[in-house]
Amino acid sequence: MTARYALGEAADALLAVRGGLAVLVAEAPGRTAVSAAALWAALAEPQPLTRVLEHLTSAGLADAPEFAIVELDGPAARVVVRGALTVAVERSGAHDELDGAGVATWRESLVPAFDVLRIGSPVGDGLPLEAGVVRARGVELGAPGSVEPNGERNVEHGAVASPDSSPLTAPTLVPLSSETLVQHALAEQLFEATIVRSVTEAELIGDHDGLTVVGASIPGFAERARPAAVEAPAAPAAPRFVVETDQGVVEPLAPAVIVGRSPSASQVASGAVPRLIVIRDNPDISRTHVRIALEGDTVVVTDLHSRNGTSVRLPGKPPQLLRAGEATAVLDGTVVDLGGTTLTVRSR
Amino acid sequence: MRAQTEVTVGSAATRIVVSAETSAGAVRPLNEDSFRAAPPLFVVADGMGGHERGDVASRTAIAAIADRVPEGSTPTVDELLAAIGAANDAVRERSERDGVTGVSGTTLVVLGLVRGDSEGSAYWLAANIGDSRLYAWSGRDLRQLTVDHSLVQELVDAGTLSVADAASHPDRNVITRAVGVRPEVSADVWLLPVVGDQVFLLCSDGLTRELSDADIAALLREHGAHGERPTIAQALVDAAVAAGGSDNVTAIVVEASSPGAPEASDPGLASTRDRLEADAEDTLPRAPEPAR
Repeated sequence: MTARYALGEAADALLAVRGGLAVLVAEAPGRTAVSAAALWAALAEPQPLTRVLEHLTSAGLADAPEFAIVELDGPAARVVVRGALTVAVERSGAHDELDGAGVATWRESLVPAFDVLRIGSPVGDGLPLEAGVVRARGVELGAPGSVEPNGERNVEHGAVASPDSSPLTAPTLVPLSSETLVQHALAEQLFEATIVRSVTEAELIGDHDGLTVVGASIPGFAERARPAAVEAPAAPAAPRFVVETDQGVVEPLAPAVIVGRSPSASQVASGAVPRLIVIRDNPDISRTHVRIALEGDTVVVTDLHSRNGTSVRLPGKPPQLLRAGEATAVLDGTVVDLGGTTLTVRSR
Repeated sequence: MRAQTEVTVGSAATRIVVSAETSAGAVRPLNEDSFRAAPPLFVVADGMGGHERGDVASRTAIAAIADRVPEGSTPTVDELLAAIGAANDAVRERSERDGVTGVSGTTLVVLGLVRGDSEGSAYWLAANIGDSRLYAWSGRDLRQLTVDHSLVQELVDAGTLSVADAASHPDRNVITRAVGVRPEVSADVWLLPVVGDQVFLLCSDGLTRELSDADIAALLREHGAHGERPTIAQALVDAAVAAGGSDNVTAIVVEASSPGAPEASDPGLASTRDRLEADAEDTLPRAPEPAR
């Protein structure tokens, strides 16, 4: 499962994601802090939901923290929530909320199907998390089968939040004091031969007024600046896809197209610049309407907050209206309907 | 300098008036900025490295791009991006050949008309590496299109520094991407439609360090399209030098007029929110579909 979360600070909730399970545990002053390592380990055991519950209530119910647990089971989700935490369930535009208020233990519910589950504060342009433990103010979980919206800004953040190097460490910001930054830069400069060797020490510290310095050697920043698209090219074995308009125009997904009446693309990595498809003479279509992209070996369609929306028709399925800004995975043969104008996704 | 050109891509003609100016500023002995205003391609490069290395880097980068994209030509997206890649290679090769031990590199901001894939279509391609910027001027509002690759921008994005405090942050000169420093460099790229009348400003940070967006907007507004002496680029650079001129200053102002294209109500799209607002004006709602 991929979660999107709003980065929190030390006093914020602990979010753990592993396999089909996500756990958000609120911190409370005076209470023993929940161990990230223990939580992470519990998620790897058989019957992880039970293990996590046991762990969280091990100090007795009175001392158990507030928490929310989501376990995915096919299209359904088992939601366990204790205390004032709220799990919002979005389904086809309908909204429902689950919380554990007024219950001495916890509330357990089965959500048969959902589009998005939201816990805690809104995540906005949240950071993606596939697996790991982080500090979070809020988290959003998409239904299984949906794909993370890959907004251009998120691509960069994705590189930071990627937990594979040390899943137990919350992503922390680089220290803000300028002194520390300069020291980091200097340390790299002095002790590593391969990195960018910057200006002399005297210049770096003494002349901040107008001297341009490359900070790529500052830990964290270089990683962040490197776009994910360059690091993760489509697998060579992946099927090749094209998009065909109803006017017969065929564009390869290499890796993306943006379709509209007068389309534009904002801040994309130079290795992943989309092709623009202009649809003329249809006033129902927004200037920049929809993005169709190959991500890995999956084709995803994202409505770019168009005025009239976009629907997709998977082979043999009824049309489905897309939620604006959310990437939806589609199959070969899917028809993308912009309202009077259609595009077809084909493999070749 | 000031030049006037007409560029035709397919059936559409774009008339371009450009003015460009650069100055070492009031403090620095050397001007390490370079620019190229060869319609329909415009580039500003702010070199760094000290001891003339910055000057060499910015000039080398621009020469590499000029080699790949001759004046008056409209490259494809891939060709223009390849030219930026070639600039990175050229600066690295030059540093190696000269035996440079310290860091030598340059920022780059590029605006160029590119050829689309079909039926003579054309777009503006904008790309940046580092903290040189591209702005769009609507005649009323000045909007920064590019996002700096700088430490302070990272801090602003992370929510730990306000935009107001960024201007005075002690590390505001630290950039996180540059041309000619690493074997590969990735630019951030924008593709913008060619519509009606559009005005763009490309500049090095020497301009934006001395003049606020409001100052720049006021100068653009006062200057209008008439003043040929001094040119608008000259007026901007002079104002930045008069305001302190602590760094090299470069400005290119591009006024493009494409009568065949629809009127510009939105010269450049900076964010999804802007796009939302823009689209709210331009598209008629379809009759609501019956609930499923």
